[in-house]
Amino acid sequence: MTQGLRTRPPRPVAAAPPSRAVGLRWLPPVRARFVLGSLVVVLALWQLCASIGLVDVQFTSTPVAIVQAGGDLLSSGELWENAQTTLVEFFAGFALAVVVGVPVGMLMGWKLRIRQTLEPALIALYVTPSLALLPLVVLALGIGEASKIAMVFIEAVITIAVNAMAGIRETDPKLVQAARAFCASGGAMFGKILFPSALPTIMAGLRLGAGRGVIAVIVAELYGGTDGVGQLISTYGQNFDVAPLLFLTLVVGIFGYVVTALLRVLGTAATSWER
Amino acid sequence: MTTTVSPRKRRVPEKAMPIVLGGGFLVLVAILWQIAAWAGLVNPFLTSSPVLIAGSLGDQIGSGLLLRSLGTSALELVIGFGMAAIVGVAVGLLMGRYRYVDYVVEPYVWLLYSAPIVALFPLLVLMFGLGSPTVVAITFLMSVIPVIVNSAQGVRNVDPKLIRTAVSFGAGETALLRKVILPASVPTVMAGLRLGVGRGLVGVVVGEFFAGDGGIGYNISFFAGHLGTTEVLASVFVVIVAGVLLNVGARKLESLADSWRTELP
Repeated sequence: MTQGLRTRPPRPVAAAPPSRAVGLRWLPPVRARFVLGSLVVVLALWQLCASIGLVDVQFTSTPVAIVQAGGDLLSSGELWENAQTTLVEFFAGFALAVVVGVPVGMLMGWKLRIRQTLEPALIALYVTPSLALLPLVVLALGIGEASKIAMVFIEAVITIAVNAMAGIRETDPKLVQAARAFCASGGAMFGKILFPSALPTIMAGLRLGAGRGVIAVIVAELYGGTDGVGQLISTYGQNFDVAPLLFLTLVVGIFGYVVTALLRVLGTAATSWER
Repeated sequence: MTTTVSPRKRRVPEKAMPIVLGGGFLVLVAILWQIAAWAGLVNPFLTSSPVLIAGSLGDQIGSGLLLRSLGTSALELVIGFGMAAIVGVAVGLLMGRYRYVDYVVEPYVWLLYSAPIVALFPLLVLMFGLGSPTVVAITFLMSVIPVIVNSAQGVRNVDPKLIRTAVSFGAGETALLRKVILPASVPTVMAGLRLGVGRGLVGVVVGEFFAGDGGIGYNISFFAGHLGTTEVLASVFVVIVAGVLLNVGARKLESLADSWRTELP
């Protein structure tokens, strides 16, 4: 491995890459190699331990069984059917949270009196597990889709509002003073100074809110429901059928990761003027 | 002197504004809620009322239920979060200090971070049985992640000049860790612990929903199952108070842990 690396530099030198670029060129592969190696070793050990009976397969399942269970779930259409419900619930709740949370948060950041009025209540909800409200929401809205949408909304809206507020408040006061000195109207102040400067923090809030929303929709479906991925997990869980349980948990984890990554890309694109 | 007095006179009410407005808002909501319940504008079965909730809290205190449940939940939080703090800081330090440990452990940290840990409760029940041990396990898994991520970040952010200086003065790995890396990463580690205790509280409450046999979260779920909105809201109120107190305490500790630091000119 090291030999291969040592023999490499002479050729690209002709292309004259700066010395930093050489380091950067082979650094990611090292990282990828270790990450992949670690995953392969752990999966192989897991499979090996299970097949020679070192760990109880009933508790831990095996990577092969998980892949098989995943294949079954995918080919029978069971996963997609339930995922549709979950996706609709998640995106409805999240969209509502964005529509409500961003304006309320920005208003709180902008107007001192509104902030002073609403901040204690908002922060109290921010630092407490709002999932504690789940049984209450189910009691009020039933076990249908409405209660899941409401849970995603509650979980996401608080994070989004807190970040939108912080974003507006972090605006450079010099910019605000300059705009004021040039007699900017309220609308111009907001549209040209406050909103653009708060946008990165708002996008970070959306990302955090989406992550919390994914957990919320799954936990709400676990708690009670008729369909959805969480309900599927709950059914397999009650039968102690560990392989599909782990597969579905993995799928939800990947979904959460993808949504967060997409929002990160969107945020970078939206704030590209900054650089 | 005389010039400083007059602005101070005006500043005192300004300083009180957040308390007046913020507290007033909460009181106003409670009063409107109560009036709406009395006037029959809202269905008291679904929304209860502040007076009923206060009464229910009094009952729960009187019967000893509240104290018992708080004790159960607090014990679960202390054990679960305590283990998460020890394991998380240790793993985070190793990840931050050694690049290869970082690469090897990284995928599992991200997996745990984005996966819904509560969904694993049937598996944990299978391993630990229904009750506190499972709740402790969920709490541990929920709160260990921010501790790991922040501790690793804290170590990575230590000024390399400090490390190089210590090494060139002959500091071994232990001395380096104890005298340079740990003190320099305290603020980030403490922030991670604060985030971790918040997630730990979520773990305790939600864990008790699904796998508990006592505690505040279990009470919420139990009363909701018996359609006792008032009792549910009383327990939720307790959770909110606990969350706020934990956060305030964590922030105090955070600034305390950082108070020895002096700014060098």
